[in-house]
Amino acid sequence: MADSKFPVTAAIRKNLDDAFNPIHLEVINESHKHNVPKDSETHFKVVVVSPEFEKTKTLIQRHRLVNDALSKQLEGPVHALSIVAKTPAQWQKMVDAGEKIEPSPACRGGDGSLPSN
Amino acid sequence: MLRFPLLAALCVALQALLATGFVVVPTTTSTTTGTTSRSMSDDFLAETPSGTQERIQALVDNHPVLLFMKGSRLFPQCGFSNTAVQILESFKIDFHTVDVLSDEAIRSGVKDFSQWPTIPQLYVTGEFIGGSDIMIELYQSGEMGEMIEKAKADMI
Repeated sequence: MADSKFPVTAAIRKNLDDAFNPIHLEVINESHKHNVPKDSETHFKVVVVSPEFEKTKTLIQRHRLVNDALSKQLEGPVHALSIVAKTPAQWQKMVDAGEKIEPSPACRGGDGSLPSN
Repeated sequence: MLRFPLLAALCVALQALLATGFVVVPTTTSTTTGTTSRSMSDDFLAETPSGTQERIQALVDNHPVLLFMKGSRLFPQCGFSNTAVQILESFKIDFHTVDVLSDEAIRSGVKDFSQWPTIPQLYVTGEFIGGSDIMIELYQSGEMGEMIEKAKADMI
C-alpha cells in the first residue's frame, strides 16, 4: 500500500518503530470492518514485539507506552486501537505454540457518525 | 369550584415549569442484575468539565465494578464493548455500565479522567484496569476472576 494513500498507517508504523525498535511489528488497518467510509484509517490493531516491554510490570503500563507513542494519531483520526504488546520471549512462546493473532471483534454499528473520538 | 385559588395557580405554574424542561428529573433504570445511568447532560445548567470529572469520580467511587462503554449492557454498540460486557457477564455479578454514546460529556471526560484514549474502560473497586484487550488477557490468566472475587466483598 502506498504511504501517500494511507498516511495514518505509515505514521503509526513509524512511531512504533521509533519508540520500540521492535523485532516484530504489524500494523493492521481494521477500519473496513466498521461503520466508516471506504479507505478510512480509523480502527487499527497493532502487534508490537520489543524488549522495551521487559521494563514494564503491568499490562496497563505496556499499553500506555503504546498509547503515548501514538498519541497524535489517537487525538486525531484513530478511533479504536487494539494492542498486542509482547516481549520477545512471550512472542516466541506464542509462535512455538502456533498461536495466531485473533482479529478484532465485529462492529456492532457504533454511533453511525464519521470517525471521531 | 376552586376553594384555594392561590394553590391552584401554583399547581398550574409548576406544571408549566416542568413542561419547559427548566426543571429536570434524573432517571435511573435498574435491571435485576445491574443498573444503567441515564444522561444528565441535557440539564438546563450545562455541566463544566470539572463537574464532569466529579461526576465520573462519583461513579467510580460508588460502583465496585464499572464499565464505560458504547451502548448498553443489553445492547452493546461496539464489538470491543461487547467483549467487555461478555467477560463481566461470565462472572454473574452486579456491574454498572455507562453508555458514552448518550453522554458526550462523559465520552470525552472519561478519556481525560483515565488518561486513556479509547472506550471501553473498566474500573474495579476504584482502580482503572484498562480496555478490552487488557480484560481479555487478564481473563485468560485468571487475574480478572481474582479481581472480581475481591470486588464482590464491596457489593453487599
